Amino acid sequence: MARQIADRIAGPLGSLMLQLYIILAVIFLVAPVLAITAGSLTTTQYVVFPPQGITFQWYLRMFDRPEMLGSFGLSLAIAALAATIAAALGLLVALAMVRHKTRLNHLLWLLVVSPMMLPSVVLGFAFLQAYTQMGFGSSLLGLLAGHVVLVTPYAVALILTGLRSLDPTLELAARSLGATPSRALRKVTLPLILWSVVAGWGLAFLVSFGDAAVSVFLNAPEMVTLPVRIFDALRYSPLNPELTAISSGLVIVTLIVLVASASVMRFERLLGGTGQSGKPATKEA
Amino acid sequence: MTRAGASSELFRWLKRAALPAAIFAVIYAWPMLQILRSSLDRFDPITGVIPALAPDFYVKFLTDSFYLGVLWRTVKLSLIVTVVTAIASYPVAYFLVRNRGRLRLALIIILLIPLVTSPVVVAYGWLVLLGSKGLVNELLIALGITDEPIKLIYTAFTLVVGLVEVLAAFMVLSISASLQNVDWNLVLAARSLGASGWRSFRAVILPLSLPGIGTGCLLVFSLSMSAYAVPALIAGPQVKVMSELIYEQTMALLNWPFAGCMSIILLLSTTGVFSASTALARWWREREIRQAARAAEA
Repeated sequence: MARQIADRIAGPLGSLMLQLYIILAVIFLVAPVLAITAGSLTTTQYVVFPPQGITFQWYLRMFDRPEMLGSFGLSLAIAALAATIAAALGLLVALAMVRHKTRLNHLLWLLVVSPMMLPSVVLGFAFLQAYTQMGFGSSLLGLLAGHVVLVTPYAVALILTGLRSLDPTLELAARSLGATPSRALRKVTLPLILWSVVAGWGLAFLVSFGDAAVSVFLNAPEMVTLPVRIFDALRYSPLNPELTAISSGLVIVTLIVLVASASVMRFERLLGGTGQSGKPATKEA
Repeated sequence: MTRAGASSELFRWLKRAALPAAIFAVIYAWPMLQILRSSLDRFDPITGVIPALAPDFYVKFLTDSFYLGVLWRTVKLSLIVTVVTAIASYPVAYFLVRNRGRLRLALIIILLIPLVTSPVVVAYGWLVLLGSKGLVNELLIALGITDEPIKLIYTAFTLVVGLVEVLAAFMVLSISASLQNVDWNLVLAARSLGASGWRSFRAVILPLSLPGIGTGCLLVFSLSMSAYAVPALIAGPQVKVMSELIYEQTMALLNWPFAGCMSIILLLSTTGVFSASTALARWWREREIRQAARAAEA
């Protein structure tokens, strides 16, 4: 129904203009990412968009640069590890917050979710300073710890959305049928909120995989993540096609994770309206 | 609840929350407290950090027009980014609520692309598009609007464009969330009482979506204030922002107390602008209510 009413407000001319505007907005949103990916196919020595000629030589050259491949592997490993830890911690935090009513929840929320609101440069600097004192600054452990703090808020937010949209009577039913609390959790609750855990993992992975601002502080010379390597290289030689090829490698991994999480996660839930307000979204269709 | 019941409830809460809370206390809360503490240290370029409890760097920052200029530029640019994002995102949010199914899902994924792609890559994409040999300049020359390439990169303008693109998703999703809950029958009522399309939008939908705009603005503002990779790559040294100053002091000059001091000032300015805007919004709403009450009396 919303659609008819929305259209009646705008009128036919307004609807047409709105559609045109959306097309422009979509172009604006994807332009830089598209430019990077297409621009990396150019045969020229500098990056242009649209590309002149098509070649995969810049991609192939990546294999001659072991340090880039090493960084790529490091980024993948750190992101996967940080996202896994974040999803595990996020699940615990979300369960504690939804299942138990205590004032400590607010404190827990502030502790675990506030890194999302803080400038990542401030975080990166704080981690470098404190981790150095603790003896693991600029080490793999420090880099991982920093990434866990950076990405846990995203996992918590999505897992909370999943838990809150769950019908609590389902687990009660399992309990009344004789399931132990942990069995009810494993057999009933977890499968039902799995989409939000997977989506939380995916978002955490992407944030960690793309981060430059925190990593730039915690990297050691022999251990540099890919965004930081691109970031450093870009400052000295912008528009180098080899860098574009590497960057579009980043884009491709990102898109795969995004589309994979989109297929398990009901992105509609990001809009609210369902779950928390209790109004089923399909009612209006 | 009995006392024993309350304590076992707390015990079960702890069973779940203790591990994450302990980990975060060590790897997050402690470092943040350290920054606050170390921002009061003194610094000597030769011997390094001297432990102290002195507000020297705060005084230095607040009395130097260069640093104040960077802070002011950061706040100003973030405000511009917030306003532009809010205006540009509204129609997209409106469209998102109006449509369902595949089209909506596709649009949400497209919105998330710039957000989840590494900011380094996005910034790089803008360099390619807006550079002197980039598509935008070629188009402008081909259309005869300009004879030679316009300097588009390394300006405040590009920074605003880049940040709006990266942060739009937050705004669109917050506004959509509040539009989603609008009771569209109210619009029908307004229309049947003779309000024009525009008027019913302005008088009914817009006010009801204000909370969503507010949340979106909060998110976009704080993320612009703290953006690092986008400004560092596409705004260049002439358009320096706070996060770049912090990075410089830490990594190039190794002046950690000053970096800590600037971190605290950045955090305080973000929360300061928040509180000021919330107070302003409340004052505005109360004024509206008073005016409406007066109009009803008359």
